[in-house]
Amino acid sequence: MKVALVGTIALIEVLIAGQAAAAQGKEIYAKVCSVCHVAGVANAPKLNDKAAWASRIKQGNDALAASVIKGKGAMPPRAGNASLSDTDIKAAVEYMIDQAR
Amino acid sequence: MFMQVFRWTVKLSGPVVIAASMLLSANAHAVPSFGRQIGMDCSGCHTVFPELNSFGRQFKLRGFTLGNALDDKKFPLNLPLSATAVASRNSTSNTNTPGAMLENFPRDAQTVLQTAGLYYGGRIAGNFGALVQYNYDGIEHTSKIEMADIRYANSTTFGNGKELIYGLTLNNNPTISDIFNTTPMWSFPHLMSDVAVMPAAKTLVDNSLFAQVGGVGVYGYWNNLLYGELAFYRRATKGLFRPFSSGVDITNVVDGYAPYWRFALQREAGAHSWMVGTYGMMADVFPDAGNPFGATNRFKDLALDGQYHYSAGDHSLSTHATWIREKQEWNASLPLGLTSNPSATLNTFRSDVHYFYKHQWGGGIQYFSTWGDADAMRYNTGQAVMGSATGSPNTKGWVFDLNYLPLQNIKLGVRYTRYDKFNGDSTNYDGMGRNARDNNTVFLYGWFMF
Repeated sequence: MKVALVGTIALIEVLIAGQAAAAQGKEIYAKVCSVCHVAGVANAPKLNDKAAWASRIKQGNDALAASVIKGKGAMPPRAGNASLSDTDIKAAVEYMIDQAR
Repeated sequence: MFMQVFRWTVKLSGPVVIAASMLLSANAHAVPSFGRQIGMDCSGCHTVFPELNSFGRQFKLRGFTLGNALDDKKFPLNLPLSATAVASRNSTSNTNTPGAMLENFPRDAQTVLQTAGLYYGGRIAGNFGALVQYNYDGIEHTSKIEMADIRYANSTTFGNGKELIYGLTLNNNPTISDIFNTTPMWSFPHLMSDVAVMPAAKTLVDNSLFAQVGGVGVYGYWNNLLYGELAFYRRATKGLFRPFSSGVDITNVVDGYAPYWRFALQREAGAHSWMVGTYGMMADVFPDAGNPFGATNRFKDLALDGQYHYSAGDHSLSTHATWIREKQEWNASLPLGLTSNPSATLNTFRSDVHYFYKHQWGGGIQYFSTWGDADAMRYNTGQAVMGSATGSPNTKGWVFDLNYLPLQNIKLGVRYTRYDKFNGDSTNYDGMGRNARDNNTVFLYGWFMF
């Protein structure tokens, strides 16, 4: 009984954390990433363009986040916003990938 | 020379540190309106301002309209307004040569508020945006329009589904609309002393028409590869373009329409980007700006340029070069006895290389040279300091610039300009005993954007 309760609490915590990360990712996307990823500026993959995201998703979330942190093409390092932490960037990447699945 | 630089640095450091402290204590939103609009730092668009990186070029090409982050700000940060201030101190190597007068070196060796300016920078509505600057000139104590670039931009696909960005620009200086840092408006040294002694000759496209004209241009940028622009400029002394010269002394009045054109090929690969291009213009200009009637002189400017940028991690390296060749036809000035030649050529070459660490510490070196046909009537004016005893316009030298940016929107600099030749000669160039090196300057500056 005790084990089941602890497991349930842990599961709830994971779900809450996941939802918080998703909300955080959505907010960062809207604030920063959407500048280019709505219109596809300089060949940036558009948010819901599944074909454009397919090959990128195969690279994995960590590799995509690393590209954002380092900068790629016209995308400046950390998407031009140095105040974004690695966690922020990963959350935004995960949000964008979720929209393309 | 190094002790001289040290002494001047100490003299300027007081007011600059005070001003810097004020900005450092300002809130975290104290960044220009472009940055607030797109939710990015200065480094989002610049290697070090005002040099544009790849995204900065995209932002400008798209009419300064990207981003909606201003909508989330509270008044007054939701307005597309920014400000700038430049405090500087220019010290000329020798102001005491035969015939030299105080007005040759206004405010020399004095710390001055060189410029205080206000920008409209951002989207106007929809696909329309603008960068317009109005300045207070702390040297002349006047207020005037500085730069104006009002744009419409859109995009489509062309040639196998490749993106074509296209747009219109309404502006007040040929090359102000350009997206590279090789053309005169945006090339190093970016910020000039307003009081230093300047050589007698420069080409028309080399900012000689700044705020003297108004023009409309169309441009296109295809596949992040090819850039092209065609514009026509008219005098800004009357008609619709008059606001583009508001408060500015008119020294060049263009007759009719002056075409300006620009083509560039660029590539980007990882941390590297490079560009080669050409630009030019043709203009008929009245010999007397105060009496713009009758015959005109014709100027045909043709230029080649190129740039290479590398940016990765903490390191950014950039190098630029441009060569301008101007053919001058003195159809109006010759009969008036204002020139010695019916026609002449004038060339300018400039090349620079810059390095910055963490967008914070860095500097650069530039070599510059202007050369062309001698013209006794134009250049041998008999004036001390400003004249040329040989009638030659030839000038060459070096610029050394060191910078520190405590914040991305504050640039502190010390610059040494060295002339190896000035108005035709290295020694006794004015015929009264002044040498080119007497015009060497140390320029200390604090450039604040907020």
